[in-house]
Order: sequence, then C-alpha cells, then structure tokens
Amino acid sequence: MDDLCNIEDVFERHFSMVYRLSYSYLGSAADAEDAAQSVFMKLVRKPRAFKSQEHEKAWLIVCTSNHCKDVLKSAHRTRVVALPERDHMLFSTEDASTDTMEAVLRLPSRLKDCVYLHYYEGYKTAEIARLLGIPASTVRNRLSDARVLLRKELGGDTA
Amino acid sequence: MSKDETALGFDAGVRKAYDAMGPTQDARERVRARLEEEQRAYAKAKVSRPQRRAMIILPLAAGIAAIAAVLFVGVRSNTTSMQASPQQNAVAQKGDDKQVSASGATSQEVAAEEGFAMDAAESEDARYAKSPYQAVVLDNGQTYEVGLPVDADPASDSFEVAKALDKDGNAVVECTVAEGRYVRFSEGQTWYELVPST
Repeated sequence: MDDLCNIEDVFERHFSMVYRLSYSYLGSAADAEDAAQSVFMKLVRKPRAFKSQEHEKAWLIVCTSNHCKDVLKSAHRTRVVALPERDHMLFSTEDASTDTMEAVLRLPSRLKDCVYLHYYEGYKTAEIARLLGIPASTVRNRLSDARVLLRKELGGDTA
Repeated sequence: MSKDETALGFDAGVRKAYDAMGPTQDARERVRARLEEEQRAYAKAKVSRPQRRAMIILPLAAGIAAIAAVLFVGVRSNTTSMQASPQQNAVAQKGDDKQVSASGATSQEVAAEEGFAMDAAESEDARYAKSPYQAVVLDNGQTYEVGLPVDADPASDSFEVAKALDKDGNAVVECTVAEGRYVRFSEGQTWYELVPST
C-alpha cells in the first residue's frame, strides 16, 4: 500500500474517527468540522504513501491530536469562550450518558488522546505508547489519572 | 454490583460518550463539500515546481543582467573618457574655454550686445605694420608681404607670430619671423629671407 493515498478513500474510512477525536478536544461540532477539514487538507497538500491502513489511521490520529492542541493553544482560542453545544447529539440524551460525555470533554488535553485510543479505539497500552511516542508507563499513568477524574466527576467509586 | 461489573459499566459509559461525539450525516456532507471546494481551489492555485522555479529564477536573472549592463556601461564610459585622444581633449578643452553667461550667451555675444565688440580682424591687423623687409618670395614664386607687430624692433626681435599679407593687405596666414628678416610659415620648416618690398 505504498502508493500515494486516495483522499476520497481515506476520508470515507477515517472521517468519523478524525471528527470524534477533534470533538473530544475542542468540544464543539463546528470546531470539529473545521479541524477535520484541516487534517484532510494536509493530505491533499502533501499526499503520503502509507504502509498499511493501520499506519494511515495512526498518522491521522497523531495529526488530528496535534492540530487540536495547536488550535487550543492559538491566541484566538484563548480569548473566546465556546457556547455550550450538545443538542446535535445522536445518542439518547439520558442524564448518565450526557454526564459521562461532559466529564470526558472536561478531561485535560494531555489525557484525552490516551482515553480515546484506549476506551474507544481499543488500543492496548503498548500500542498507544508506540503511536504517541511516549513510554508505556506514561500511558498507564494517564489512563489511571483519567479514570480517577472521571469517577470523581461522575460521583462513582474511585477504587 | 461487583468491581468488574462497575468497570465494565464505566468503560461502556465512556465508549458511549465517544459514540455521542460522532458526526451526523449532515456534518460529513458539509465537510466533504468544503474539502472538495478547497481541493479544487488548491489545485487551481497550485504551481508546479518547475514553474515556481522559473518564477523565481527568471526575474532574478533579469535583475542581475540589468545591474550588470548598467555597471558595464558605467565602466565603459569612464574608460572612454580617460582614453580620449589628444584631439578629443583639445575639442573638449576648447568647449570649456568658451565662456557662457548665465543667460546662455557667449562672451562675444555679451560684448556685442554691450557695444564693446570690435571687429577681430580689424583689431589684429591694426597691430601689424610692414617691416623693412616686407616681402617673402616662396619657392613657387608666390610673394607675400609680412606684417610685424607695430611696436617691434624689426632689426633685432624675433616674433613668434607675424602675419603674411596678400597683395591686398589681408592677413592670410600666420608665420614666425626671426631676427627681423627670416620668416617661416606655421605649416612649414623652411625659413625664407625677407626682401625689401618693391
């Protein structure tokens, strides 16, 4: 699969993942759309040859994560306050689910990629460590910190 | 609820929360449309690498050539003026010597306007008179009368500038008179002896 990627195919395969990860960082649908567009435009501007679909997915995860961190650090972003926007959600807006999502969105940025990759994408600690270029122990610590924070937020048992 | 069940519930809750963050069909179509539009704009604005190179190199080369041409012309004009022939320099000097007034008129023109001008030929001729040895006969038989400055002692003085006069008394050529009796025309090397005019 070392040929240059077809942007249409990549978009079809990974748009949901890129959008979801962007949303978890930025907390709004509009920002997530902008971020997803920017990430795919990077592939348009500089087409890449991926070794496999896993490689392609890993590149998109890292690229999205970095882009969102840049957006969060941007001068504009630090001066504006996002309005609450949760009404477009597809899932049933049960209180428990809404609370969990709010708690996930409030997690510190440094924990978000680990939580997403572990709980939603199903990656193991070692895989996340390789993907993000950090030690496995750091991944374990971040997941542990995230669990403590989430349980605390949701009022559950922290044990 | 056991600890495992709690953990399972927790994991499922988090997963469900991420599910909720997924895009709607509208969002997917919106982003796809924007991406296609941006892709088209990018392809339109995209300039190939050789074109980019040409866009940079050609104006640069033109600029360098223009600068080189200006420098070359400047150096050439300096060298030319430094290497001007004696004739050219003489012409230039003559031009410089010609004084020009503020109004652009030459000194002669100014003098004429102010009534001080004299006929140059008249004034020059007035300074010359015939010497005791007044005539010179050239090898070809042509005879000239030689005028010497009026205040000169024709017997002893040498004159760098005398006048050879034709039969009507007009000064036709400058000549040099030595010892009041030998004359050499400015163009030639031969000295002629003046003889009393008949």
